[in-house]
Amino acid sequence: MKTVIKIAFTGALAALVAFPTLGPLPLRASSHMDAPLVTLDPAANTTDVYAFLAQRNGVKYLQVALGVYPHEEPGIGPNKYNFDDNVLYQVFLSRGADLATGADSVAYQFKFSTAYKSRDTILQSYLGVVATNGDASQNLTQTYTVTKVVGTTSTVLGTGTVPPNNQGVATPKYNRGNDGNAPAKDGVSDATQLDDYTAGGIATLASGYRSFAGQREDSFYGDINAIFDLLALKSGANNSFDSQGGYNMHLMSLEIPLTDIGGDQQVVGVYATTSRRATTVLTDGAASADPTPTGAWIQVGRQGNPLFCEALVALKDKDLYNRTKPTSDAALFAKYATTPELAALVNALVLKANVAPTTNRTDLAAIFIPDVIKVDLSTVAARRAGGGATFGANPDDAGFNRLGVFGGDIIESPLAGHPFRLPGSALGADATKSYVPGGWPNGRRFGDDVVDIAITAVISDLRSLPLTIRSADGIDNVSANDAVYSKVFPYAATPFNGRNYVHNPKPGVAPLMNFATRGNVGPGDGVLIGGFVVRGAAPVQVLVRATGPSLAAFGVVGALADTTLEIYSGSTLVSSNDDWKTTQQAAITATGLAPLNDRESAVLVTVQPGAYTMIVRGKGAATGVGLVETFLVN
Amino acid sequence: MVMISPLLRFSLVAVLVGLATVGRAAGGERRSLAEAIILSAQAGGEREDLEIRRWQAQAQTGGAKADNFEKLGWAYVAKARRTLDVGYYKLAEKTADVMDARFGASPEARLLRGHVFHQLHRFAEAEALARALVAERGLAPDYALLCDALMEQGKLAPAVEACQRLVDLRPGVEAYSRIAHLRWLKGDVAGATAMMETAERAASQRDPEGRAWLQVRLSGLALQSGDLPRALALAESAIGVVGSYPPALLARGRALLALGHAAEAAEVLSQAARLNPLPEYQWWQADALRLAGNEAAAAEAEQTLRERGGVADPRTLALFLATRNESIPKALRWAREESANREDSLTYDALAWALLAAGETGAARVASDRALAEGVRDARLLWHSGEIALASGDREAAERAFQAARPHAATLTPSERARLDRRLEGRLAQSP
Repeated sequence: MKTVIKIAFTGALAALVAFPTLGPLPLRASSHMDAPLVTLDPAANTTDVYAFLAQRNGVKYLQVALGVYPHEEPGIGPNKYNFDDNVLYQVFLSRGADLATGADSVAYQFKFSTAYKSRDTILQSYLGVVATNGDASQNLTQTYTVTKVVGTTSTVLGTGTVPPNNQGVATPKYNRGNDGNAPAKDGVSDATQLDDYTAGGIATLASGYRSFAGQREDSFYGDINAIFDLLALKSGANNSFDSQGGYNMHLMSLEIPLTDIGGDQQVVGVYATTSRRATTVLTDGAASADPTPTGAWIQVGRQGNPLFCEALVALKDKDLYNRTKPTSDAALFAKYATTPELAALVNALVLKANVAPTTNRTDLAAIFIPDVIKVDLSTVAARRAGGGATFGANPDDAGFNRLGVFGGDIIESPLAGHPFRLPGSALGADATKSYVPGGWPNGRRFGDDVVDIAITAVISDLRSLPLTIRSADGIDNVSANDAVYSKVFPYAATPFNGRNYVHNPKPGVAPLMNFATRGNVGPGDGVLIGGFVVRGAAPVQVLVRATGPSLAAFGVVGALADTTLEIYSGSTLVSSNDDWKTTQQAAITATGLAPLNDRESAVLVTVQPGAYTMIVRGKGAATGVGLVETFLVN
Repeated sequence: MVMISPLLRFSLVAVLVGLATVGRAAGGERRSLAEAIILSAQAGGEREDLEIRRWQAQAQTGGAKADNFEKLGWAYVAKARRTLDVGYYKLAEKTADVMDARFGASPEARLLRGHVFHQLHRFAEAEALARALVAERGLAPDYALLCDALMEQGKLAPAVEACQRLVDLRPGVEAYSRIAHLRWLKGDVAGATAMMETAERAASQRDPEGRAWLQVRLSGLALQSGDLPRALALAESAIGVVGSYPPALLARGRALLALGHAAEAAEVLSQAARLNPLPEYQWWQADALRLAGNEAAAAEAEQTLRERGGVADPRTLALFLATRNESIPKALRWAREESANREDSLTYDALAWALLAAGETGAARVASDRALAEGVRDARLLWHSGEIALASGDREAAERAFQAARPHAATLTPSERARLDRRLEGRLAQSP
């Protein structure tokens, strides 16, 4: 009967609700979403800005990128995420004297236009399988114009076409084996390996520029949820939570030839904004001649360095930040860098001691005020992230470290001007030279662990030499992106497939975690035994390998000289191998997980859910230290 | 699980704990009655329920900040919007009270309270809070609240000013949707449609109720423009965004009726009225049922409307009674009480219609003129104006009004439309 009471009660009062305009928005902050008023305007809500020095065919470029649509769900429908024709997206450079104030020297504008092949259908985005960008099967097609603005002079650099979102069956070429049901392809290290949609989406513009605009995997990683959950950071191998795990974004990327912005002997600042048009509320007649907004562009979003607005600027000023330009930062927001609440919170909630300096943080102000990403163009190109240091055909560049300078990733800088240009003696490097960070806060690369870098900076004291560095490596328990970056333009990883993706897989639901065990292999039955369990209901493809001789290169003494491998389900032999090249060489090589020595063993096998045992023996009478590993491939 | 209304929860907790303080917060301090009410565990598995529980948990931690309560308050508002259950607005108001009590008066609490007041038809109070907020800090949400409160009271000129400040400060869906409604109130249907389309394109996938609502509004504008297939498609799209969303069901039913699908419309409108048993819904439901040949069910819906409509929505009940020419003193009383609270076009129209039914033709003419003074092109208001003019002996004005109503006639209930059609057929001398 209580239900009846509810209905009657509800009915009796509900009509008191007034005309339901979209109500005044709450002043709320949320993860990866900087300021309250823009959080419900995702097309204008920036995720991140990237800026770093790149090199192609021996020519250096300033690579800049702006992401929008935080937490873009890959599987959403029928309406898809698209760039908004009514939003003006801009990336700004501050050069020369403008760098110190954050004033605009150059602006690059992206403006979009949306068209449909047919409106007489419910198939909003796709009419069939898309073969090439903008073909007859791509119903909703967006094109864009890139314009360079210097002062009052505007120059159209060119136009481009937005490739389709990764729907799945309609967009197979994004996905492994060109199979619309398969997960998205990994990022690549060579432009010739890019999937057709991404490669076809790269537009060559005037004056040596190139652009790309389209859906990509959200390149940010970190446990933003825990940081804003009273800094209740998680720990433990199975307890990481990448707040952006499994999400896409929409990215605008621009390759800027240094020759067009004054060469490489300079430090430039980079930031981005989004704007919407104002309008006159009422037109003068009963019918509006031009009823859509045609007024001035009003800035509604801004992004420079990662985490500044999100983690340092107080709630009450977040919207103000989004409305203002970097030239206002010294007056309005410097206090948030010099006296960071985050430092006090980390001291109180995480470190339980007054470790992080909480006042006079001129070191943080040097990073954030004005809030432009400072990029030293005089160096060699930045090291790029791929899929990790040992990831198959697309590993990180040698020397790349997600922690940047705090992980030893530094670049020699022949030019004074960057606020974090330091003598080699301060960094344990060549004392006769000076260096800048290899990643953020010298530029920001895809793959920089900005959460760990930022918190390391906050709890350290970088105000004078010698630097006092307190590492926050791994503080949020998320130390890698959940997708493989490309090391070529547009760098961000392939967008997740709308019909095959997962947010933050946990052991309870993950089919299998990668596994490795090392031990001695003796004669006879003195074998090395390992096991793994496949969870869930679906079969998975795993690569199992046994290594021995290659371990010597890693300093292992007495490594097993030759291996054999058997995999059992109960007492049933599932698969076995002696030398890995003898049976599945091509397939194993394609995984990027091939053993390093021809005498080692590996099998690529699809197994049903259940428990499996791996046995490593020494071939012949060989004995020594062996390693058995299992990798989830698909 | 048995669901308990938020207002019932409010009452039950109050009864159980009396006026004493109850429970203990994380730090061991005693918890106020209001705090106990807003923190009593939210049931349900909808996304809004999960949000409420999330912020309830945050608000109960030892280090809880005003921000946690503020988010809880807005989570209650989101639930109210989704369910159309006014009890959640009361919980949001209580949350604002708790913010004041625990952390001192703040603009954030005032904004939350102002929004609740607006939704509870306490327009003057909402306006006062909004004006204070505008004077104190002048943020976009403050102007949005001020615009809403002024619009509801029929103060269109200052509402336009507030909305202009809003869009100059922060263009986006909140500004665009309000501009669209202001343009509609001023009779600019094309301008309203264009702006509402702009708002809909800017709306977030993360706010499905907001997107659905915008599509419902667009459906209504399409209906008014006579584009019936588009009206139906938009309503169905809104249902696709939020399943069983009562305003979207109502919009679909209205479009189906306009397209002549009475039986299907009756089914949809009955579902809508079950989910949101308000006079407007019941009126459409009854008309559809009658058109579909189900007189008994139609009469039952109308009886429910008569019995409960006075509390739920007196303005619509007044219109209904006057249209049916029954309980006229009661209709007039409802309309007069409503017009004491707000002086907008729709309220003046209800008053004019009730006055006409009561035989006060002169007063009806004055009220009707005021209803149309801002220029709104609503079929019901125009038809009423024609009837009042006719009763006043002004056949020319009546004819003009009927002709003006004709292009928008799809927005009328079937019974209203039949009466307008008779007028348009030239039977001015006859009772419609």
